[in-house]
Amino acid sequence: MTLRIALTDGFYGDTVVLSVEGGGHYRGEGLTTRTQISLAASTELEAPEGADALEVEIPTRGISERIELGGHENVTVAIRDGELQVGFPDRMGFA
Amino acid sequence: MIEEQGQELLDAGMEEADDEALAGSAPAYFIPPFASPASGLYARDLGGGHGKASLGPVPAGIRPIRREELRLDVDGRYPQMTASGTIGGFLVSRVHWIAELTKEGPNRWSGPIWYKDGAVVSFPYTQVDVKVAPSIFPGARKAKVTFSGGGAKKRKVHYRFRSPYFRTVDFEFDWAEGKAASTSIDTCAHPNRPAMLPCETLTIQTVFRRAGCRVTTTPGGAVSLGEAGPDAVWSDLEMHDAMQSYWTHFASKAQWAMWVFFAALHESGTGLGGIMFDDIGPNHRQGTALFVDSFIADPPPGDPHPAAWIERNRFWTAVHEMGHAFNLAHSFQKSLGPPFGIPWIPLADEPDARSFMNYPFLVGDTAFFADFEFRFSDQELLFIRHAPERFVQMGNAAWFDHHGFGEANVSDEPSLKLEVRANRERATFEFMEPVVLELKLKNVSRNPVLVEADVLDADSVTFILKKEGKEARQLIPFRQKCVQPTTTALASGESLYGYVLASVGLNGWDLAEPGTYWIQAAARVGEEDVVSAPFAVRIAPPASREEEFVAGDLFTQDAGRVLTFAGSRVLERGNAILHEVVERLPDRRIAVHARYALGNPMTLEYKEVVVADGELAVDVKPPEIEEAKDLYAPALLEQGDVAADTLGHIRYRRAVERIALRLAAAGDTDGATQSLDVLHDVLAERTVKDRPVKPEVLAEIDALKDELSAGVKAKAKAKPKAKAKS
Repeated sequence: MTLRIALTDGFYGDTVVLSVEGGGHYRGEGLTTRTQISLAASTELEAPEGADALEVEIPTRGISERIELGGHENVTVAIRDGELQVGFPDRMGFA
Repeated sequence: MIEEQGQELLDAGMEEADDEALAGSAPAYFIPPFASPASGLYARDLGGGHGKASLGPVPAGIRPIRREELRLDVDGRYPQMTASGTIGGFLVSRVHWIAELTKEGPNRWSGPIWYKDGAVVSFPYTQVDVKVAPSIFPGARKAKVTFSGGGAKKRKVHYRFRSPYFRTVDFEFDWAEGKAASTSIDTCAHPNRPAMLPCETLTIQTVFRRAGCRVTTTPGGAVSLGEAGPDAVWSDLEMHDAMQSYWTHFASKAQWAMWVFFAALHESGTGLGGIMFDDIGPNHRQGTALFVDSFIADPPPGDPHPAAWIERNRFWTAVHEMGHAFNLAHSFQKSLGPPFGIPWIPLADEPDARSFMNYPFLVGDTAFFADFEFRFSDQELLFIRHAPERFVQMGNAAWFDHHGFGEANVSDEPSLKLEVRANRERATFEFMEPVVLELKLKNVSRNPVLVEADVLDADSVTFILKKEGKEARQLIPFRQKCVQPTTTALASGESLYGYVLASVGLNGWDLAEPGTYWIQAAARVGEEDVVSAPFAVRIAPPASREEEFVAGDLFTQDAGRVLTFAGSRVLERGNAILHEVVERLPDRRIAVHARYALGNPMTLEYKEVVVADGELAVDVKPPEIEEAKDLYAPALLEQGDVAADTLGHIRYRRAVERIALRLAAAGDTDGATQSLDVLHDVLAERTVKDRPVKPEVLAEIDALKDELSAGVKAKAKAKPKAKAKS
């Protein structure tokens, strides 16, 4: 399956590393949110069937977390007050 | 006047009525124009009673009030139970206030003022009481506001009704070739909607009218696809270029107008439904775009009315992007602070708001539109209607950024020209060197012009200082005189000169940090504001650690006052700092200012009010001429050229002439004439930008010397002619 991941609010010159066990890998550097679309970057990662977690590492914030996917294919990741905020919307689009 | 206002109100009603007619049925909450008797924009009639409601005290920078508005928001559509006002003094002396209201009775509301912006020191009030005199004739509708609290005397202001809208804005909808600009929607076309939602054909313009804006629309047109390059998708820069080429009202300035562009796709792909792309250049938020072929045209599988879903999403996107142009953030990011910006007031996120500014997909598409009433949230309406204009207006930026003199009443055919300059080759100042600027007001008309004799005094001129990357500040001089003005006639081609020490005032040392500043001045002559061109000044970085260390002491109010007033015998702390400057930084230009400020007051008989035996008495200190010379002579006489450079010609001349008069009064005629010789020679040698000192100035110095040599009784406190017409 394909995971659609959007890095939304709260990024400011950050490095973000996303990975799915047995699947795709993403690394973005210097990511900053464009507040008028609440989006810093988006990516698609291939994930093996049954993959249940997304690893999110933001070394610029000292954040490293494992996100349980629960079968969701759309993931939003934001930083608020120094912590990750994760959402699983049915659909995604920015404006 | 009454007829005009009545027509505007009628127009407001007709605009709504047109929408209702298009819808085929009147919505349940349609509000006929005459049923909204109180809310709207009111303006104070400045024709009479001006002085009765003026603000004070002067040190806060308030000048005579030019414009005063009241926005009353207590009935009509989505009332916010709020009153706000803008008091337009001059430049940064503007005051903006917002109060929360509670109904006290028929046509009467009161409540606390919870927000102030601008020159708030002059506006101590904490409470408003609003009374409206209703009338079916809108032009006859009046409001009286009583401001109270804050330890100030009550202030009562009468306003006349101007408009049912709080703002006026123009929209232009353009479209990329092959696309269309759809600006209306059938609110009941999609079955998933609030049960009580009125069925109507709703236009974008009506959405913003209901938000409190009088909307005008400039006819749009097609934008060539060539603007998007061969790929036919749009980048932000391409759209910005297209905006500059195709938008009828494009201008690099803040204005209540925006460009809305309907295109197929953004270069980033179908995931971007629209964008307020205009964060380019100095004037942001003028242009927005929506991408009609993006995800907003991709209804969820099984949607019962996919065509209506698409139309609604496009409508939502258009208004959403336009909301960004009004500076509205997304519902879920309202509280976001630095480094992304600062909310205008502490805001709470509204992640569940059924607002144009929320993302439906974050709430859940179905849940969102089931309760969506095609409106902005109350928090957003409060901002659009009542926030300070600069926060909301398209193209505006930080306080007075690029628009320092936006309120000046400048004549189209000015009779006077005001120039700010430094009498030196390059306007670069050493770190800690006080910035003395000179002012020249010239009559450029063919006829004599009457001006007040003190028109160029520091407290008569408004100065705006703007440092790169920072908000503009107004220089508030230490001295605020209160005198009966006298007028003088300035003949055609004649000029008046003055100077200002611009580094420091009641606001502190605004012109002290290293960097580049732009300075503009405005002089008030009759009803005309004479505004100078911006003048760039550069402050050099510290030359040593020693300077950095001393600067911490120098940049204080006491030291600033002593420098500004050219000395004090009572501000001991300020004097001590200047002595330290002379001792530790003898070769820097600040030492010239310090020596002058320390020596000058010792040349005259100094009176000080003291308490003696429980009663007030005047203690007179005699001049201490020799001690004074030790201080000022190395600066003013031994390095006269440096002194003329750093003090400016006018201040240098005034300083030496004043000291010469006092020396003569103390019987030191030789000292007086020698000082004037130095002054003459220094100024005679100086040429700044190929401009020598005028011969008549040198002649006046010679004449003074002759007078003193002849033993003419010197008036030690006589004001020299440094600011004479030339």
